[in-house]
Amino acid sequence: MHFNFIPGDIPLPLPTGGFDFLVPFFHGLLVVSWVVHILFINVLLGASLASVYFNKRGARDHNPVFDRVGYLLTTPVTISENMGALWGVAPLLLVSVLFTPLFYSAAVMNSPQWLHIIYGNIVAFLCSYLYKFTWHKLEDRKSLHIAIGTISVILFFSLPPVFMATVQLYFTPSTWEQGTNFWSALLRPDTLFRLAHFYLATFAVSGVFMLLYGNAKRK
Amino acid sequence: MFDYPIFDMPMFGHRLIFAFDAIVHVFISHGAAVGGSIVLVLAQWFAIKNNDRKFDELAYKILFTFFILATAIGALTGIGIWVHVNIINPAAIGALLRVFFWKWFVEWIVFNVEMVFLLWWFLTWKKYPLGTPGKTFHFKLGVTYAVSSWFTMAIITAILGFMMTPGQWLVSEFPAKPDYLAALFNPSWIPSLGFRTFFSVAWASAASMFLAWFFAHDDEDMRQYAMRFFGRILWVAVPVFLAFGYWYYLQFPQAAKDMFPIGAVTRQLAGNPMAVWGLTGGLAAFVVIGGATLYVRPKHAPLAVAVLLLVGCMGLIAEFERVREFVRKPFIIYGYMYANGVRVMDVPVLNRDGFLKRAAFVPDELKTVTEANKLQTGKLLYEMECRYCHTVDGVNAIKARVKGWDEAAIYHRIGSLNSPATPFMPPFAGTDDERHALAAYLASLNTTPALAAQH
Repeated sequence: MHFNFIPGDIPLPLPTGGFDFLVPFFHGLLVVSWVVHILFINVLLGASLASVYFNKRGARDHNPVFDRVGYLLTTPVTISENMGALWGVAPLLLVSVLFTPLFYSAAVMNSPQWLHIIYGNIVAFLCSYLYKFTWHKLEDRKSLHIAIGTISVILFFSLPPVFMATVQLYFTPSTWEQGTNFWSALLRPDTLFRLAHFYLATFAVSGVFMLLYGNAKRK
Repeated sequence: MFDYPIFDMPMFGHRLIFAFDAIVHVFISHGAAVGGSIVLVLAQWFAIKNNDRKFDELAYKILFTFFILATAIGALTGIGIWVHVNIINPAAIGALLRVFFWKWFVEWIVFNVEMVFLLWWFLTWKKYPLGTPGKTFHFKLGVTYAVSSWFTMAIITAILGFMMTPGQWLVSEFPAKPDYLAALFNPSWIPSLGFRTFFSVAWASAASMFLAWFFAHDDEDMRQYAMRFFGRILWVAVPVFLAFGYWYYLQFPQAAKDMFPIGAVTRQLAGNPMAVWGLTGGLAAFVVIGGATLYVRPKHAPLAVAVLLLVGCMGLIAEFERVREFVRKPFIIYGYMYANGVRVMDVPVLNRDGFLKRAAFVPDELKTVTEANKLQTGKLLYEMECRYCHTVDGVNAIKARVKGWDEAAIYHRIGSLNSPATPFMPPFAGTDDERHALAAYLASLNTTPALAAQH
């Protein structure tokens, strides 16, 4: 395997305090916090999309049941967007401390698109709040209401490609070249297939979540 | 030693995009979260004590606004500070993470508590109406949220304090052995924590007065009641944070204190004391006039007065954060790392061996300066050493700085960057050939811009 660039590590020790067993512990924590983060994100993507879908169907068929389901789904969206962001911090912290030069180099190569995970996310959050809190006020202006929800869904779905490109890039430093950038990282088969897998898994997890949530709400 | 690829932010420059994210974060984290939680818990306590339904409703409306701001913008711009720094100055944030990992980890755990209790407090406010037994329980949710919110600030303040006054944190340079406790208990931590705590409370009170102007617009009695309640908190918090502020100021190194005027305005305006005091005093006057009018004449105060209060507070906060960031220069971690990510201890090695040779992402053919690659290597050196603060022709444009200078003059200037004329600039690190290459590139920006752009 040929490496064009090999970044050096930060010349400060890993914060284990001399207890080497903490290194595998960090790795374990990274995996666990990552999985929790991804579960929240799955629910966020699935529930926000389903909410807009049921909202639209409720309006089209004049069916209040669909409308109610769409509205009920805005609560798990609020919770999962906040908890998802929060549980994204732990893996970000761990990956930054364990793989500093690899992860940061990948993030730099994927910039300025890397900043989309902040600014795109903020706009998505605000749109999703607007969508949730104007549900009853905009009852007579459904197309506007659905449009606001759709913008937040599109923005939420636009975030995983940025994460995925950075994660795939930092895993594979042997692929780094002078001109490596966000688009070249995103359009690689390994990134694209992983992304497709992630989106499909999102629907699967959301299905399970809706089953459980629906059951809980029925009681 | 320069171990990262180069991210360029044309026009705006790194400082501006970072400042935008960070200052928005401070507005919201200090106002809507830390200060906001304390002020609204006090408001809820007061409403429960007096069984005042209207004031309870007003507090909820303010919390609604704070909740949206804190979760959608405050939390994300907080993560955004990391994300911005990891592409702007990865060496610095990488070093900070190694020293403050456990504090950050604890902060994340507390952040969980903060978020859960905020969601719980906010989403169940109406479930526990005033006068019901559950309200006391609900009030405790708010108290937990306020305490955890303050705790997260306490930890982050330690990291900011460390960057300015790291103290004796490095027991040995090689192999590096940090003293984690000394880093935490750095000299400016406690004073800056007191300062930030009370300015958060003052700022949240002012923001609540601004919001109460709208939310109690149709109820003059409630508006008076709210303005007096939040106004009292504001007038108590201001002198306390000023006292802590003075204690905090005493901790700054003398070189940093000397740069306060430049940080408060700009280098061009710093020579004029009227500009420095005019801006700061003017903003403070906005706060006093706005706050006093809302307090004394709450029923008749026009919207302009509430806006004045808000603008004054935001202006002062932004000015303070700019001063704090600016006066730390030329360092990002005082005495350890320069603002451009170069460790102080590495400069002699880079001067001996060359900056390019030690840069991981520079291709082999550009590791050594030759007559043929002079502009190319010069550009790389500019990107690795200067672009933290400069852009080519946008904000703080280097092109304008060297206009009218020939290559020889620029070469000499590069040799004295960290001088009394510009004490905020890090020194150039690299060999004499590299210094020539950088000078040639900078000179070409005005003389042969097409050639410079090619590279």
